[in-house]
Amino acid sequence: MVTETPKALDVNVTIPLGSGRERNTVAARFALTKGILVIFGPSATGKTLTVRAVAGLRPAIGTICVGGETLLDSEAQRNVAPEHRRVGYVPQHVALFPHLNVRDNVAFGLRARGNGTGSRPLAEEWLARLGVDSLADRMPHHLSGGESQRVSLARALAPEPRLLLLDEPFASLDLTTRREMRRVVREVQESSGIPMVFVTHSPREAIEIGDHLVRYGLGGSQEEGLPGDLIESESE
Amino acid sequence: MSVGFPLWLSLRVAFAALAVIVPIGLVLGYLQARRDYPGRALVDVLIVLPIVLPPSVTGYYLILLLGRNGVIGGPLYETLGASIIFTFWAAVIAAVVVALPLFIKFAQAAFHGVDPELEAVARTLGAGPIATFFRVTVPVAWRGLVAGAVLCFARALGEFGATLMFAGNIPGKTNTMTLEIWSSYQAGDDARAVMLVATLTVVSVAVVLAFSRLERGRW
Repeated sequence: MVTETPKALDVNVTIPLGSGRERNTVAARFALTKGILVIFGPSATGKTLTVRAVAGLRPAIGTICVGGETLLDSEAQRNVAPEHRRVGYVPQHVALFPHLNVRDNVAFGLRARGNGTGSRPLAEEWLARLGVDSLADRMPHHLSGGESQRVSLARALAPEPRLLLLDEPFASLDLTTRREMRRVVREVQESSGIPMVFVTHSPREAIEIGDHLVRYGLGGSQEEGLPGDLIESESE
Repeated sequence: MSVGFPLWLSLRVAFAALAVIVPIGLVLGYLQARRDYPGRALVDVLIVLPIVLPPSVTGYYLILLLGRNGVIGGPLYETLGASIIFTFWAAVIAAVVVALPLFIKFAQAAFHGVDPELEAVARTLGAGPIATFFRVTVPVAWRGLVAGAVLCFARALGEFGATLMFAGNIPGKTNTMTLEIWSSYQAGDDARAVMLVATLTVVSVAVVLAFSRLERGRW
């Protein structure tokens, strides 16, 4: 019998919204084998809600499996807490810990998982991989937008998550920095092999970075496919 | 009688009150800032009440509640023979009740200013809710929390009305600095009153300086 390699990510959920909205749920159904899955679409279509549900930061109904482990199964009453999911999260507005320097920001996840002594050298290793090892002693409010995003990426990657979620991480960066950051993300993905979900509303970003695409439409529609099939080359 | 006893008593009362206030205030301040639950608005009113009520009114409520014939104090006295009113602990309770709301309000505002996304990221990095609270939420809210602690300590140290009502003004037992100043003045002992006033002023300034060091030491 051939055992099928488990999918990197398998999502089939309904996410309830707060009351008083027109549509009261977002349905999400997609899977990723490897590489980068892009969730693409206009704002207010539930892209952020979807990644937050995968991270366990938002209640959802259905099933979520990451690397073969079931993180959510509503019928079986299984719902793994965010701190036990090993799913990394890079939010839109960076959210570096303002009271910790860059090194300690990156070491945070290693320490939380009980790696106390090795956390500093490992943190510095990840900073070096993202080309920001020279900033280790800086405080977050002294960093530029691009630098902050690199540190935020290093912080999410350092504990070696099974999946990394990136929620419009480059939305506030200028075009040059954005392009550079996409290259950095692609490189890290290929070298680390960590599967990623990348949210964006930019068609160009979706084409450039995605191996697989899910397009969210207004009114709750969803299409899945290869980036080139779903998006005609549009400008950014 | 020297200044020593009332000063020592006032400091003990204020520190004991602070030790009770901080844990309760952190929990309630966080709940009020972050969680929505039924009855939240009512709790908000109850928290603010001791700030707007005159301390003598608060003191009278404490007597009704914890006095020997009080709602809780009565049964307590009958079954255990224990009485809180007119003791050291009565002074502490009076200080807690008037100063706690200040700390909760400050903590609530400080926690409100902490980006929830920081907590979300901490959770995804493997920190549980309690670790996240102490390693992210509290350090980020630090300045506001210290400011609240300073004010509430000062309020506890300066408490007069509720203490007089509920703890009395028993020499050698519950005569805190503020009560002693009033007694000395009433007795016409101006020299002693000036001495007490000067001491309390110096102590208050020292406390504020010490706390501001604590505040700066962090960031």
